[in-house]
Amino acid sequence: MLKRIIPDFDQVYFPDATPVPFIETVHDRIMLETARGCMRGCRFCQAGIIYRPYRAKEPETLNREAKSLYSSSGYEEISLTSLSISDYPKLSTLVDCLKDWTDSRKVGLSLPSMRIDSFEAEIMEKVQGVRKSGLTFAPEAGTQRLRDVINKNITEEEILNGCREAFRKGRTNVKLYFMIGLPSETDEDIIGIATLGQKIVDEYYKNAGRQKGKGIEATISASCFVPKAHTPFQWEGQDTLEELVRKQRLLGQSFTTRKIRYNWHEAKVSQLEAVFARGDRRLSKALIEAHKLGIMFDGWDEFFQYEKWMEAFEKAEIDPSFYANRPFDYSDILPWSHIDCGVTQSFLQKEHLLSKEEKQPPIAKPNALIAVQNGSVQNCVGEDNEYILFYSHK
Amino acid sequence: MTDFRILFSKTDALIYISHLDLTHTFVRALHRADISLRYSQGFNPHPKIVFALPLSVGMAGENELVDISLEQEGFSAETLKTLLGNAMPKDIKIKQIYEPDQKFKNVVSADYKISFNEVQGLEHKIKEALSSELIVTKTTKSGEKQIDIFPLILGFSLSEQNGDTILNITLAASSESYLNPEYVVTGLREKQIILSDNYFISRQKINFGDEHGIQV
Repeated sequence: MLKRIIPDFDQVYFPDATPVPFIETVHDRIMLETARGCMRGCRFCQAGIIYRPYRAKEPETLNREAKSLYSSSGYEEISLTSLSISDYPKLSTLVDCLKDWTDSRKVGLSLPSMRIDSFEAEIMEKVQGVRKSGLTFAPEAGTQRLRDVINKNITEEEILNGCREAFRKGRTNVKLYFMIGLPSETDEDIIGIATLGQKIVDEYYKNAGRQKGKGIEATISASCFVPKAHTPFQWEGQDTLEELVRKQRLLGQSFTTRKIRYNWHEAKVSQLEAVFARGDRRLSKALIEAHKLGIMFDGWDEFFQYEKWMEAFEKAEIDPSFYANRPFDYSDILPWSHIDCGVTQSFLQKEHLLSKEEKQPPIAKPNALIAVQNGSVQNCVGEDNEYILFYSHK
Repeated sequence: MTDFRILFSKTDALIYISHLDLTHTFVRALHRADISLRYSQGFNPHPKIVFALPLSVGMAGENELVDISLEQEGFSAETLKTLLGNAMPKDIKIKQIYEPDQKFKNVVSADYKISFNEVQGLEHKIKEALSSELIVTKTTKSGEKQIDIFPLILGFSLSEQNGDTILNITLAASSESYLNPEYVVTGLREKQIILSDNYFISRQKINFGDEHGIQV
């Protein structure tokens, strides 16, 4: 089964009129898809792999689509969406084109979380305007070592610089997202999350110009890592339930300041996610048993019944840890091996091996990123077609 | 001019959207028609759009009033009526647009049409109940209260049409005293005069008074 792509992304079907609910719903805004795919190559991220190659729309296309959607809906906000909006090549141009007509009509622009550096800071100012919303980072791991393992390119310096700038400008709200249970993780990495949190809080109080009496509102969210199909980590097993819970407790106890709010997620739910993320068709039996047992609405705490799930697995004669926790072998036929999403198994294996050496991927990517930011989008294909990172139909 | 008063009706399917949703609907329609609303100043600017009275969910309104303030000059009421009329959803009809005269704070009462469906022969009993003290249980934030709604009933008439009993009733509707017509129905139900849920309320008209609160 081979994935198909739309090469000329300006030609992709996009609605020119959107349904407008009468009542207030979530996502009460125009969603404008600016690009598909992502070039960052974070090793845990499935979307980043399966939506390759990176394809972006021209600002003219987006401006036209936005105008059409605005006149058919009357929504007061446009959200520029894509996996990594910071990598959209002509972001500044696009924002200027839109603001040309959105400013006078009091239509707001919003961008999902952006990477923080001076280039983006300018755009943030243009987009956010008067309302000082929160600042969000997703370091995912608490130490540089682990960030290199998962290839999340963000350094502590970047985070602290970004926070410092934001605090100076009056922001008081910071959110950080992490995962626990990542491959090769040690307790030191877990504690690193709390340490980083403390450094950010310290930055806030170092700011002499801050509003007196107003404290920092810092939130750290740590979810449990679930290995995903079609990623370099697809062969990794998830930590055991006991380990995940132990790590959650460790993190909770490691915070050295009360200014940080710690959000965690039920590890049992994450374990179930791992079972189904790495499972094969034999799980259908478990699903039927689960349904017979009356299991439903697992997304709501009050309805989630872990014991019933274990009963369902037992009845289906399935050991959930066989799917969730067992590392897979390179020679195994994976439940998704028959699906080709355009990225070779050898590429994923190479990435996996590099992660074990705590190394980042080879040079092709940084050059590609620079090329994109300079506005000269080109084909970038490495050996064995492995690095099809982005694509231009021109 | 830049200030306009809009006379509109809210009926059929849209009786089920709340007052706040109605505000959003107007704002979005104005955006679609590319008409710039004036916004308030301050940190959280909101559009200058004010309704005379809110409508409860489930209640229709035949002659509702809303004032809007536009950013641009030079719009005529006719142009606005056409543009806005085209942009509104079908169950909201823009009936008329004109320059605001009386202020909304001078609203004193409202006329309602309550139809008790498939109910006959109760005119006498209803008339009796509404002509003197009528105690109704009102649930507020602080608990339940018994109130007498008779003083807030300013006039009524009854008739029978197609097997339904129609109660046309005028109720107080100012900032100091506002009676939701639902309480009239509750009052009649608590007295066991009306026994079913099969009724429908539609506000027919909003009435202004002068400074002394006397109906004009």
